Amino acid sequence: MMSWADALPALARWARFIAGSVIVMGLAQSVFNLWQLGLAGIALRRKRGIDDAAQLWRRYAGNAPAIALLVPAYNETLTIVESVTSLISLQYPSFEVVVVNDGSTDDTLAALVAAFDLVPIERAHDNIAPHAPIRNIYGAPHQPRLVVVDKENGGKADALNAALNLSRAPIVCSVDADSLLEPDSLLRAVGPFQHDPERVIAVGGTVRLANGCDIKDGRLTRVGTPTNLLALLQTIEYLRAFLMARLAWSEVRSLLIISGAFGLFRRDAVLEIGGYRLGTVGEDMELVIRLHRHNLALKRDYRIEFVPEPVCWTQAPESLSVLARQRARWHRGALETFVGHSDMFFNPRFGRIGFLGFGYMLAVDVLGPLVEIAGYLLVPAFWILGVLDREYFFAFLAISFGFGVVMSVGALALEETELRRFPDVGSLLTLMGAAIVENFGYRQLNNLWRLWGTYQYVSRQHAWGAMARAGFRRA
Amino acid sequence: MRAVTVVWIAALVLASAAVFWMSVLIVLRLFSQRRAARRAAARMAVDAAFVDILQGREDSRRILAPYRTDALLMAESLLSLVAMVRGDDLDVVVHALCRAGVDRVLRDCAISGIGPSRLASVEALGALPGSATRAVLLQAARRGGGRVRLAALRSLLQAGGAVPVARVLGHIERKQLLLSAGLAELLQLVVAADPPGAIAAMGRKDLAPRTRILLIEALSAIHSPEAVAALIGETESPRAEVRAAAVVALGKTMPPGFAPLLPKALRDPDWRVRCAGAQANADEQTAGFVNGLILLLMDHVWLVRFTAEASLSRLGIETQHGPAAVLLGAPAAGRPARTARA
Repeated sequence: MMSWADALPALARWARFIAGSVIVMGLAQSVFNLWQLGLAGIALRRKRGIDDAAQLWRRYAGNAPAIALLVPAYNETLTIVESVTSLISLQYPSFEVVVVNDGSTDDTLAALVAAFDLVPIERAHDNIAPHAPIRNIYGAPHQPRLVVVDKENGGKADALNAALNLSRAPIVCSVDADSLLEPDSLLRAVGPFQHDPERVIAVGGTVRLANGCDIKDGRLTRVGTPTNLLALLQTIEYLRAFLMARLAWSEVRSLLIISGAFGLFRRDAVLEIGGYRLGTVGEDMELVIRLHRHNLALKRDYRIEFVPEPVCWTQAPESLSVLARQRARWHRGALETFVGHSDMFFNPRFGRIGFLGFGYMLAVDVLGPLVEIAGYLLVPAFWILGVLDREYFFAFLAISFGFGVVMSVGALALEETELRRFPDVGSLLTLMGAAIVENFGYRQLNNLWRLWGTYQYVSRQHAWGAMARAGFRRA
Repeated sequence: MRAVTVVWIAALVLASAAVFWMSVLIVLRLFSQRRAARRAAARMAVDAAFVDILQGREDSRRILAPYRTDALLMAESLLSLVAMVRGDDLDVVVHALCRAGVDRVLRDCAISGIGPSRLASVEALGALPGSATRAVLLQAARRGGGRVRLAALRSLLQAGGAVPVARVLGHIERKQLLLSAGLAELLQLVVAADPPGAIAAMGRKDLAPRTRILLIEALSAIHSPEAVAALIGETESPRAEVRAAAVVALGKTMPPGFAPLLPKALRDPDWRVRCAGAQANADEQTAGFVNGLILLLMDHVWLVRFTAEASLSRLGIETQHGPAAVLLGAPAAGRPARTARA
């Protein structure tokens, strides 16, 4: 029988191998993220928007194509009226708002009917994308831009399909019912469609957190920093995801996700692939990947763009349980999409989407949480047992925490250098603190939630999970 | 040194660099916040001084003395005033500013100032007419960068100076004026002041397409009947973007000479020209227009199909296919449409 002394060299070899693998993977991801940070910095400088709203209107409003805002709503009584009020007062020459009450069990529809004096109307519509039966269609006599659809519950993708069929504009824009768009966001976001209408099929915009901001009459009047710690940490996370990652992915033409909270699509491009896929929780990512798939298969020259300036403000969960459910669901959606389109992975037919996009998804979304959690457990354990050199342990800490701080603080610095949306020094100091702190606990928690999402996916749990709505804070 | 050691040293250095970068940005923000607060207080004081001058309560030289040498402050205050006050009231303040020597400060800054101070001074000088001001603005237009040159030419016009069309076109051709809405506006003002000069310039063969497009837009904005022939000539340009601009310009007013050319624009090989033709403000009596639009419903570019459908709707002509079929093109034309009942 092998003694502990005999087993030690073998265990040390194993420990070095495991720690080395974790470090190499983490390092590769960190280097990739650093490259993304640089790429995003260059893109932000190049894409600097127009500050003056009047100039923006003069330049783009003349030939701006009509846009239909698709707003799926399920149990949104608290925020729906404010959201719709905000949407119908957007600065854009030609748009309609199609709100879909997806079989809400609360007073969402009643709130809309009361607020906008809705009356039943008839409206001819196409039936291209599948969805659950429509019960009623309402119009507002004093708000010709507003159409409200009441349908049986079928999920978010189902509601979006109903809105897609009913809309009449060449560009559709998915908007979450708990989100607020900046008044000139459509004018800014439609730019790529105007500049390159033959090739651009979708455009994503930035989503930022409204927690801590002042909202008045459905408009954001003052940008602030959240007072809730979880929301504060998510503010940094959103900055990293939108300002850094998505911009960089768009620069290398491999953007795989446009947030469902604010994304513009050519309606014909979406209808051509049959609309949103039903029964999926990551319908936004799935749609973008199917758009890639379809257009690459047809060898079309197309573009899916991301523009950093149009901003959509949304409410982030402020409790651990709600946030955990949301993150697990997002991860489940990513896995669902990855597995559903796994034939694209490393398939030369799908070019950089197959290699770069799906390669990153595999490394970061599928394997990432497992590897990182394994690293947190095994590397310190090996070091304590004395089978791993101290340098490995430090290198692991450096990868896990050091590079994390670089990315988070870097994304914040990028925001301050190029956009300057945070109001004062106090908020910047708070956010810098959050950018450092989020690497010690929050990121690890996030990985646990993603593991939970993996478990849900493997055990085929399909529940959406309740999202507690707090309503917008008023000025 | 082992590779793992390099990794943690690199992480430490990069994390420190990121925190340092952010700290510098925070310090810069602190300074800019304080500067903005001081400037806001000074602006309020100058605005109050302007009110005193308008009401004849105070001696302008005395109350403007603490601020008169701050060119940026005085220029911004004057620009705000110009946006609100006109006529005799403005003359009173301008006279007071000149007596206090502010005009000299602004002229000096327009020549030797830097950054926002110089730009604001050049803009504000438009409100201070006089030969000395015009000479300074001409000098700024010759020597300044793109934004200063644009502002100087505009101020020169406001101060009563002459800005020939050829001069502005020359600046655009040499890329000494940046393409912007401001430039388009300046060109419109210059063209409105000298339509024959602008029409003559259209005959130049050496103009780059973007300059020609700007000139077409400017000519279109002044609605001059003399310009129609020149614009019609541009619909034959070998450059599609120029043809499109000319069709958009003519389509807005639909002069008689353009109507026979519209069907040709609707059949143009370039989608931008077809789209421009579809936007024309023509009616059902315009020969070939409706038929051309119906053919465009099958166009392979969605924006052309949509524009054609919008124009047909404007004319009260319902398309059989419905909006989705228009977007999807011919293959989807037979798809069923349904009406949900209330």
